Amino acid sequence: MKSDYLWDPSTPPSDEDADVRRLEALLARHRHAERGTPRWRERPTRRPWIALAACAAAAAVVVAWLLLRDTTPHWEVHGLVGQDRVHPGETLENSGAADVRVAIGAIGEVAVAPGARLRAEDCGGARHSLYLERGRLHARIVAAPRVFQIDTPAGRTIDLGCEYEVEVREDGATRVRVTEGQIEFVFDGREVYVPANARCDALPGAGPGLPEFEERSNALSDVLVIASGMKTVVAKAPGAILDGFLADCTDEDTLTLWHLYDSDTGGGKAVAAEGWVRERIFARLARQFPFPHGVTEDALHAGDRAARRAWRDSMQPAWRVQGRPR
Amino acid sequence: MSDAELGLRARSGDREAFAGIYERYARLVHGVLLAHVPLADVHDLVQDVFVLALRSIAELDEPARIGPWLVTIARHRAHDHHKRGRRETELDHAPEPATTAPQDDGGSDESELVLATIRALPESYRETLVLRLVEGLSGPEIAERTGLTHGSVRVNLFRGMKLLREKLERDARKSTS
Repeated sequence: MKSDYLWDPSTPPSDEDADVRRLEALLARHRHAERGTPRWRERPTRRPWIALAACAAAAAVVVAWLLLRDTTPHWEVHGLVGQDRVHPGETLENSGAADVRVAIGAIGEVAVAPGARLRAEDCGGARHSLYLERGRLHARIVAAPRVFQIDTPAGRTIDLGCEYEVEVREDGATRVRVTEGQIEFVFDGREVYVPANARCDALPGAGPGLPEFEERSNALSDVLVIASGMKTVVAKAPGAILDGFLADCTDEDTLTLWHLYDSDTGGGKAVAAEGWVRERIFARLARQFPFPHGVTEDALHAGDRAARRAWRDSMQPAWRVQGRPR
Repeated sequence: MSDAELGLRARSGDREAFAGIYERYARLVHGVLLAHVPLADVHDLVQDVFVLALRSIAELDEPARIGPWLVTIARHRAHDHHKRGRRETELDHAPEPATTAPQDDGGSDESELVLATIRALPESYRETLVLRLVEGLSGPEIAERTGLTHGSVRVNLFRGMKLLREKLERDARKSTS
């Protein structure tokens, strides 16, 4: 029986856990409890008059700040001559040669590349959002999912807690590349899930296409052609090609396959797999990923959004494993 | 006392309850920070994280999810620490050239080298590995305290351990060749 010591150290280790045990022994000295854990104590005030003076000074600072502060919601801008903040509805254009940094409240930062142009939409409260008109930006957000979003001419990216890059070309075509965590790319009711180390391209009016890891294999390219109905381009026996691919495909490929199956929902026109292709993909995915509690095959086929999301979420560990660290 | 109870009491101003949160979660915060910043800075940053938490305890929307909330603060604090470090480095004068080459007397701390190797792994792996190998938490405990699913923690642990083994073996081969 395979050892589960790494997962549960209360189980007996096997020989193959020797390196885990060695690392544990080596690193335990840095454990919090081993470093003389202090109890939580708020420091007492040593001199009452110092505390009083500090309070008075702090009060003066607070009053001055209240009188002078900019009370409208805004983001701080760093590295752009002549503009140190941006308010909702205002535009920011980086005409310099270096990145401009925009602090998104207390939840993160966006680095705006030279040549990029964006408009702030919502700068606080329940949500932060912007519209990227053109160019490239890099976002790093530490917040609850869906608090931050970026609109583009080709769709909306919704942050689910992560670091990612968005690039909009002059014609509005958009590419999203996720470095850490995950995002949702949505357009007209269609949802595309893009995990770490994957990318997704989108076109204005058509919405996001399929998310993919790294370079697309020839076999997957053939399947995408078959899925779109252009059977004659690849072969006379598209069913056999599809079945062969489904028999050998990797965990990475299941990210793209899931979105082919889900391509019957929403109004995006970038991807629309034929019915018979979706049926075979469904059977392949169902063999690898059991339905979560409460999810039924009927609900999935009927396009029930909650059921589809629940099943998709259950696949995420497989997609997380396959990301290649950059 | 449950997390939800502790969180509710701390949010209503009960400092003893906040001390209870510290006792329960200092190890988790320490581990998350250790996955991002050098060992020498971690101790002070743990205190910073709890000071920040105390200041913003009123914003704790879900008292039962204290762990994930503290993890978010710790990650943010580690990120700020890196940013500040970079800025200070940029502002500093260029360092004077060393008069002697760094000496390796064989006494360099292997454990710190391993920690540095872990810190070079992707973020999701490094936090889970530090919590398991340094802080001694089990997989289920990591999942419970960070709010991740068991599946995610298991994947991070096994995939991260595989990457760590490969990197350590590669480094060992380099140092012997």
